Amino acid sequence: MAFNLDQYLPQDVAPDLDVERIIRLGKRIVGEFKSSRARRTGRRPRPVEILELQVESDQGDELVLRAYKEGHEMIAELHNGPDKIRALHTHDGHRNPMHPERLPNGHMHFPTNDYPLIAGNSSFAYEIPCSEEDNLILFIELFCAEIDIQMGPFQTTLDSARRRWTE
Amino acid sequence: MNCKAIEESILAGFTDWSLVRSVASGECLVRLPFWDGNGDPIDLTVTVEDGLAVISDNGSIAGLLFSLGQDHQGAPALKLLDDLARAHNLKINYDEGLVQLSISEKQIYDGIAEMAKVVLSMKTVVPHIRVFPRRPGSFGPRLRSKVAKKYRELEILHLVERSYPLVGATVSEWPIDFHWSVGHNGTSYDVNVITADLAVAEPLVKAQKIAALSVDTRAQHQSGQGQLRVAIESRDDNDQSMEAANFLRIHSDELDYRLFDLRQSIDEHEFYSSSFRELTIKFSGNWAEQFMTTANRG
Repeated sequence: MAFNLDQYLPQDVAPDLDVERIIRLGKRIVGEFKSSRARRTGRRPRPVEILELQVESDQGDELVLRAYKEGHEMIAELHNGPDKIRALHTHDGHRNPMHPERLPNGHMHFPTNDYPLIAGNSSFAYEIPCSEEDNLILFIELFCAEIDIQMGPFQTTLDSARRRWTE
Repeated sequence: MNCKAIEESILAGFTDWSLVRSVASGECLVRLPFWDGNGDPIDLTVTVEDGLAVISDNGSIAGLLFSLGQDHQGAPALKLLDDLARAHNLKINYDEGLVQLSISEKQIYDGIAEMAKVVLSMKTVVPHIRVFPRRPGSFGPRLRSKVAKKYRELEILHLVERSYPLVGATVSEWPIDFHWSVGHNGTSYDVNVITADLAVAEPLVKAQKIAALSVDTRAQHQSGQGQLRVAIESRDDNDQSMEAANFLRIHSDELDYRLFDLRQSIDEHEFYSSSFRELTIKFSGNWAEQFMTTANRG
């Protein structure tokens, strides 16, 4: 788990303390909003594989975990109301603000006060090698391990989804 | 800096960014010389089908809509996408979540430029026009927490969906506190539970809203696809609370829901035991014994 974000930031950029409070708390999956794989969705485009899970923190913060596939890439995100507070991507080529170098691997996005994850012009991320070989469920487990989200009883549901999706 | 130097600087940037590589059999990935609001590259894929080049957004627009909760009918971003698709002659592949443009192989460059305009527009505009994802409000957070606590004691909380949005005839998302599906003899139906705390603020307004919810979703309940259960708590020393409880009780049959007054021990037992039975029937044949054991432990 990477809780010390200062190591990834320039000196004059600070992490969003409200967000980091939640990230440092214990969290657990408490329910499932929706999941689908290759299901017709009517007249609205949706990624072929999606999972939307309800997450609760030890202090009662109600969060949403969204995971989905974009082409050959996978994305997992944690939302707190209208804010996205973490996003794990498998693709390469991310560029941090003020840094010309691009990250060669998967990476975890996090917001700062000046660089939010939605409606900004860029955001910071640190590198996480992702070798989940196209398995969205394993990818979610990696995401949850990185930011301390316990599966709890929901592990059974994920195991069931994994079996369904690999059949 | 003269124009030549500017041109060289731009071309150097474009050469650095515009990468084309093969990612799967017959599929090329084109990395545009732009990046999105997260600092991530924007990729398109190109395949050739029946002599036509098919340029795709690689699912990034569908991903963006899902990520920002803009993938429901009527969302501003979805309307924008429909308009852009019409204007740029794009096809939306709803099953695969792709936005595609078919074009002759000789026009690939024009096609990529056209698709780039659409993807860049969506990536840039949607974060600024989005309506924040809104979970419909509960009719009684206090009672909902109480029921959740009891479900947790019964070890069934992880088997239910919480904050489930029920689609009505006119309202797109009604607030359902607990939802699950029951399968029986090859058929299945959904159970939708609303908790209404009539002991606190505006009990009559809550009762009226529940009646409206029931009317708006009654097609599902009458067709046997779903059951609506309303769990309430009221106060004897509050006239409005009692009126609201009576209103919900008197109209339950005609409005197709089942009312459980959780202050009544018979109703309370029936409410929790039916939930327990339906949620655990696939795990144990002797649910009654298991329920009593677990309930006593709680």
